[in-house]
Amino acid sequence: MMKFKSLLAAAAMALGVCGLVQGAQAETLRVGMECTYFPFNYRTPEGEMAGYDVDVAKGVAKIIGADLDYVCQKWDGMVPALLANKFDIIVASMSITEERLKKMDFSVPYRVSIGRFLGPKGKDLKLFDEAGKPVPANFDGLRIGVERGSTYSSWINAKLPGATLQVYDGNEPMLLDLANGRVDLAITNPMKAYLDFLSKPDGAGFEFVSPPIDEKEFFGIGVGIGVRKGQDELLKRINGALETMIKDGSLKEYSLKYFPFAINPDNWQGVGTN
Amino acid sequence: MSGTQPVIVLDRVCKNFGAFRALTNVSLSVSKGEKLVVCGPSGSGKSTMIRCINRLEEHDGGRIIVNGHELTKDSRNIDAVRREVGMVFQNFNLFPHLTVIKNLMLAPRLVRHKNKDEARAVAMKYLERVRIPNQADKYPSQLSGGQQQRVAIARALCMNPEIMLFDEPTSALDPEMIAEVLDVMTDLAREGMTMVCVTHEMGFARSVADKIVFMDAGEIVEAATPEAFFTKPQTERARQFLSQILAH
Amino acid sequence: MTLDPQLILDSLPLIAQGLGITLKLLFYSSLFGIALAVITLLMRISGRWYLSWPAQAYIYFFRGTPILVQIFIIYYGLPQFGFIRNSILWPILREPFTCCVIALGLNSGAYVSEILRGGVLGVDKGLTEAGKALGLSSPQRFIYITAPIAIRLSLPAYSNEFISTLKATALASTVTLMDVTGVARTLVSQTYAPYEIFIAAAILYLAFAWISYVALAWLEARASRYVKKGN
Ligand SMILES: Nc1ncnc2c1ncn2[C@@H]1O[C@H](COP(=O)(O)OP(=O)(O)O)[C@@H](O)[C@H]1O
Ligand SMILES: [Mg+2]
Repeated sequence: MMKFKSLLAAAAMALGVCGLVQGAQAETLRVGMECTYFPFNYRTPEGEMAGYDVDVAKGVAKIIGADLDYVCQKWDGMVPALLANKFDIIVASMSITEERLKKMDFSVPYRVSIGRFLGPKGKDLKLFDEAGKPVPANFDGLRIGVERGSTYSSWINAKLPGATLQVYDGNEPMLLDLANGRVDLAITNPMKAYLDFLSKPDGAGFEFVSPPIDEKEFFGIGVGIGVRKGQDELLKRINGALETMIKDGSLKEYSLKYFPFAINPDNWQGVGTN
Repeated sequence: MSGTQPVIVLDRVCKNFGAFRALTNVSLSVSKGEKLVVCGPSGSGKSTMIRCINRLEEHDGGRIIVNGHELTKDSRNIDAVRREVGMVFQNFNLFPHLTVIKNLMLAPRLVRHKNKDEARAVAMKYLERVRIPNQADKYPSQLSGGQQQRVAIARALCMNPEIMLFDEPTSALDPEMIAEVLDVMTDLAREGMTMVCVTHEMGFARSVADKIVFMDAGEIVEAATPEAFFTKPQTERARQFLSQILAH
Repeated sequence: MTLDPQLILDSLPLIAQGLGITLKLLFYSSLFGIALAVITLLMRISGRWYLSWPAQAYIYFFRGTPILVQIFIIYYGLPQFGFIRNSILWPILREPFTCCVIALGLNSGAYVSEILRGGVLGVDKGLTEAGKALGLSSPQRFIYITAPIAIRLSLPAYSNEFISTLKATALASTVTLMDVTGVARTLVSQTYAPYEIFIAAAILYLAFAWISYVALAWLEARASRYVKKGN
């Protein structure tokens, strides 16, 4: 018995070692990304790949024991390139959508889709209660800037009937009007808001006036790692790696490198939501 | 018929259009009640001269005194002269967007501050005088040329002018309509109106005019009674002009 | 790409919700434009260079630049100046609606001013002289003789300008207004059915343009009833 067991262990060891050796030599994950999407996937002035997507890709690669090979790909050809086997996975801030799920698989989200309200600093409008739920009455009569057709406007229509929506064709004019006082609040992707506005002189007098709002039925599931259909084994390993990274706080650590707030899912919700 | 005091005095009047001299030292005097006919070849300055009398043209030299008002840059004098001088144009110049009656009522209401009823009464009086009271509510475009010119005369008369200026009032008319306009003018002359008429209607001139002035090249070449002018023109230019006119 | 006629029909009532704003924009900016046109026209024909030059500069600027640029200058440009945001004008300039009315009105004013000037130049000089000879003052001649005739002469060109303004109101959707185009664009962003929805919007514009043409043609006919037919 003992002998058999140790044999098995030795075999397992051998297999494991063998796997490791194989991974070091043979398993290279080719990752598709734009390489120009600051601060998610971009090149530093020194030519190093960096960004939240890159950190996630590196973290996953480390856990599953693979080498990374970056393939820079224009956005509109990203999915076709994956399907044509130009690379193995997409880690490019790609949102998980029904449409895309017809053609490919996604990991669990490694970044959440959220919205946050921006408003002037220091005005205690009491827009949200302690539990982070909106207080509709306190939105009455407020003008809120939203991007045309964005999920945020659907959310406001559903939750805040007393607010007046002012619809913009882009984030920049909306934030300009917020700065000029044409709208009382604006709701948008907090990452964009931070990069384009709050971190700039124009946004100095403004701050987030809401907690992150992440209702999936409005805002979607989030951003995941894309793989070709039929790669269930790879997908499983990637999900496993993401689980580890969510639980041990590495995702949060990565996100705080780029933003003063977390953009990662803050607890493990299991696989299968998508 | 002619009174004694001059109501129109032109004293060495000059008028230039840019470098072109349209009137040269034109001197003229018209007494109250006098009928002056002005004739001369086309381009001789007849219109320019008559238009200077109510300041439709601004003269460049000499003096013009109308009913005691000297025409200068002073707009009060210009207004005073225009209130007392009526004018009839070759092209009628009726206001096309107003009915006949409203053409006649406009100036009495705006300038004489008559109320609607007074203005209408005056207008109807003169429409009857020119023998077209039944056209009062038509637009000018619905009238014949002769009717339009008679309306134009009535329009000027509604302002109760002391002097009437006519600048070739029948030249734009079909021949069969000339008489109806000349009849009205003859009536007016009989009533004692002071009149200055630029016209080539020599029959009218002969029967109505107290004096005929013949212009050529911006100058008054001859001034005479109709009798003298038609029978013994003093200049070669007048003779030539008359032979052309009367040949028609 | 196949067209879904049902979707066109279904989206018509939705897009029609924007008709109110479109028509209000059209109404106020046309009114404002006419007022501006009359003022600048008077400045131009005043014969005084210090009135005529600014008017010409205004007309030149607004006829020579795209309306979209004018809207952006007024909507996004002016608030860049702090003193404007602190001025009594801010409650007016803060509103996208009034910004659009100002931009469209300024633009239409420039065109209408030229149209009216054409009308004024088209009035027979003899009529003004008849007015002078009757003793009418210069304002009286303008109000009672020149203006009514000039307006009639301007109506056909004005009718085109009015339709142009109607179409230009669509630009208001770029500064957050939910006019016909604004609603249509929002629907498109939600349904990804641009053909059907923009066709529905086009139908609404066409219908109103047609009504405007008919109304203005009627007005023109009325204003021209004194003009002799057939010559
Ligand atoms: N506004 C004007 N500008 C330039 N030249 C003019 C103007 N009015 C008249 N003239 C010229 O002055 C001359 C006299 O014109 P006018 O008085 O109309 O002649 P008439 O009435 O005798 O035919 C003509 O040569 C004419 O071309
Ligand atoms: Mg003449």
